[in-house]
Amino acid sequence: MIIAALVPGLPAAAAILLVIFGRRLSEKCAWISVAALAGSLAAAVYMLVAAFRGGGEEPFVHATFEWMRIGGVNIDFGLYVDGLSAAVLVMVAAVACMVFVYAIGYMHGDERFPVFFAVFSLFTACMFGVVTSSNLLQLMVFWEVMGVCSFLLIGYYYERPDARKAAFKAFITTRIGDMGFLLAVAAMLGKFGTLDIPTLMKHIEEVAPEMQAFLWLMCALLFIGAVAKSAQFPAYIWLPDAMAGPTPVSGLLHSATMVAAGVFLVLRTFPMFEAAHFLPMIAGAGIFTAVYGASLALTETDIKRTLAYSTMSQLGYMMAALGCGGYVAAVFHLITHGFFKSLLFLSAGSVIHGAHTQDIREMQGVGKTMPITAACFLVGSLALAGIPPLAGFFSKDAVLASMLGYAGKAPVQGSIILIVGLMTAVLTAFYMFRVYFGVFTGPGKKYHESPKMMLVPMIVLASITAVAGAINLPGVTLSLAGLLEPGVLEQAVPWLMALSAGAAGAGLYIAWESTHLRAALHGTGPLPRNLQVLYGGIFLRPVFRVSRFLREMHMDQIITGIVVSPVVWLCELAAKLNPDVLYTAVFVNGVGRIAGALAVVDVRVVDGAVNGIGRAGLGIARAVGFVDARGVDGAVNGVADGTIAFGGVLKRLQTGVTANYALFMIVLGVAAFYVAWWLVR
Amino acid sequence: MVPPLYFIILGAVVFLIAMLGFLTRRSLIQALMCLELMTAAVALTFLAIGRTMPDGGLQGMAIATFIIVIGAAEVGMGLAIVMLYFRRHGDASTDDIDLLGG
Repeated sequence: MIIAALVPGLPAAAAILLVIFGRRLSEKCAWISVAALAGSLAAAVYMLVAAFRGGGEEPFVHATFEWMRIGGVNIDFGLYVDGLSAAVLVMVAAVACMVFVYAIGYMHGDERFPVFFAVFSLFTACMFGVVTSSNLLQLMVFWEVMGVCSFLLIGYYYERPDARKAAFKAFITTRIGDMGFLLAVAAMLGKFGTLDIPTLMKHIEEVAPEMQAFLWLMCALLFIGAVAKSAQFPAYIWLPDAMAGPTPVSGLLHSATMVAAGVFLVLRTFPMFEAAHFLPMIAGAGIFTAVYGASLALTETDIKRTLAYSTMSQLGYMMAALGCGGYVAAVFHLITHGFFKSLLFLSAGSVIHGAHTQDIREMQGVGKTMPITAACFLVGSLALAGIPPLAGFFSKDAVLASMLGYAGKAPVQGSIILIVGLMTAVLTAFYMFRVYFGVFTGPGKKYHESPKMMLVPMIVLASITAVAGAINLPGVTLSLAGLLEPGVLEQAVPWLMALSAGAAGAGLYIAWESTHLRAALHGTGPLPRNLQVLYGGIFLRPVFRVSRFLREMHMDQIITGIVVSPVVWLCELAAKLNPDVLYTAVFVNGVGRIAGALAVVDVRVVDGAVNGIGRAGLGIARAVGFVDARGVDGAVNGVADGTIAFGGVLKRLQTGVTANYALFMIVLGVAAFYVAWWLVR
Repeated sequence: MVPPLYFIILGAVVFLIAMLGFLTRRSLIQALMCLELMTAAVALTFLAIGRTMPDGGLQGMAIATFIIVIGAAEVGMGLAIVMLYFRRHGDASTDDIDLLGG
C-alpha cells in the first residue's frame, strides 16, 4: 500500500521541492523530477508484478481512509490498484520518465525552466492520482488539477497570443465536459450514498434492471466528461490548438496521459456503462471521431497538428473498442498508443528543434542530416499505421477483433463499425506516411541533429514501441488479457490480422504514390508511370477533396460558436437591459409627464397663495436677519474655525497608504476584541 | 483523531502569518492573497470549533461553506479592481496608492 502511495506521491513531492528550491538549482532541478519519476516507475513495475502474481483477480491494493463526513455521508480518500491501474501506471510512468529527460534537452536555456518542471511534475502526479483513485470524487479532484496543469502548460509561452487563446480554449472546453462529470458524481452520491468505485460498481450491477433510465443518464453525463477530456467529436476543438504548448507537453499530455484519462474514466466505470446498455452510443461516437480525425489529419500542414488529429482519431478507436465490448483491446491500444504517439511527438519536436518550423511543406529531406530522429519517427509511424510486427499492429488488430465480435452480436452496426475501422486504418497509414515521406525523404537542406538528451529518450521509446506488442500475444496467459480478464483466452483471427496489415500497407502505398505525384507536379521528381497517375486521379483526389471539405467547413469554429456565442449573446442582452435605459424610460419620462400636469395647477392656484404669504414673510425676515448677523453668525463661525483646526490634526491619519489603514484596522480590531472580552467577562 | 485545539492553533498561526503578510507586502496581488489566507484561517477555526459541537460539525461546515463562497466572490472583485488599477497605472504596489490621502 505504501508502495502504491509512492507512485503519485513522489512526483508530487518533486513538484513541491521544485517550487521551493527550483530557482536556486536552476536547470539541475529537473533531475529531482526525473529521480522521482524513476521511483514511480519502479513502484509501478512492482505493482504490475504483484498484479500478475495475484492472477488479476482481486485488487491487491484497496486502502481508504475517511476524507470527510458531512451529516451521514462519508467520503473516503484512498488507493485502488487493480490490473488495469497497474498496467496503465507502468505505461504512464515509463512515458513520463522519457519525456522528462527529453524536456531537459528541449527546454534548455528557457528562463522559466524550474516552473515548467514543477508544473509538469504536478501534472504527472495528478495523472497517477487519477489512475489510482478509489473514489469518484477523489478521481475528479485529480482530474481537475490535471486540467489546471494542462492550462498552465499549454499556455506556457504566455507571451504568445495563440498560446494564451489555446490554453483558455482547452480549459473552458474541458470544463464544460467536467460539468457533466460533476453532475453525475453529485447525482450518484445522492442516489447511492457512496462514491467508492468498486462498491458503487457492485451496487449498480445489482440495481441496474430497476433504474435503467437513471443509469443511462449518469452514463451520458460521465461520457460527456470523458468526451471533453479525450477530445472526442464535438469537443475535440481544443486539441489541435493545444499544440501551441512546448513539444514535451504534447508528448506527455496529448498522447499518453491527459487525453487518455477520458478513456480511463470509461474503463474504470465500465461495469456501469455495460449495465446501462450505453455501449452502442460510445461505439458510434468513437468510430465517428476516429474516421473524422483521420480525414482532418490528411490535409493538415502543421506536423504537430497532424499528430493531434491523429491522437483524436486513435482515441476514437479506443472508445469504439470499448463500445464494442473490447475492454482488453481498449486498454491494450491505450498503452501502445501512449508509447508510439509520445515517440512521434518527441521526434516531431526534434525535427522542429532542428528545422525551426512546424510546416511540413517547408521541411524536406530531414532524414539525411537527422538520421536518428528520422529512424525514430519511422518506427512511430510504422507502429501507428499498424505494420507488423510493431506494437500498433497488435493493438489495432485487437481493436478490430473486438469490432468483429460486436458484428457477431449486432450484424448491421457491427459491420459498419468494422468497415469504418478498416477505412480509418488505411487513412492512418496514409496520413502518417504522407508526413514521413514529405519531411524525411528526398534531397534537403542541412539540419542539425538534436542533442543526446533528446535522442536517448526517443531511442528508448522506439525500442519499447517495437516490442510492446508482446504484452498481449493472443493465447498466452502471462499477458494483458490474462491480467484484466483472467480465464478468458482470446483467440487470434488470422484473416483479420492479414486484413488489418493489408489496410496499413495500402495506406502506406497510397502515401508513397501521392508523394511521388506531388513531387512530379512540383517538378522535383520524375513523372510517375501513367498507371500511377491514374491511381492518383481515381483514389487520391476524392479522399483529399473530402478532407479539404471537412477542413473548410470549419467545424471547430461552428462548435465554438454554439458553445461560446450564447454566453456572448446573454452578455449583450444584459448590456441592453441596462438599468439606466430602463429607469430613464419608466421613471424619468413618467415623472416628467406628471410634473407637467402639476405645473399647470401650480402656476394658477398655488402661486397666488404663496405670493401673498411671501410678502408677509419678507417683513418678518428682515427683523430676524438683524439679530442673526450679529448674534448667531459669530457663534457659528467660531464652531467652524474650531472644526477646521481639529480636521487639520485628524487629516494626518488619512495618509491614503493602504498598509496604514490595515494597521489601524487590526489595532482597532484587537482593541474592540479586548473591550468585548472584558465586557463579557 | 487530531484534537480540535490543534486546528484552532493552526488557524491562529495562519491568520497571524497572513496578517503580517498583509501589513508588509508591497504588491496588491500579494496583499489579496494574504486576505484570502486570513479568510481560510477563519474558516478553519470555524470547522475546528464546529467539531466540538454535538451535531458533529455540521454548523461549522455550513459557516465555512459561506466563508468560502464569500471568499470566492471577494477574490473576483479584488482581482478585477487590481487588474483595472494595474491597467491605469502600470503597476500595483500598495506604496504608490495614496490617492485617498488627506
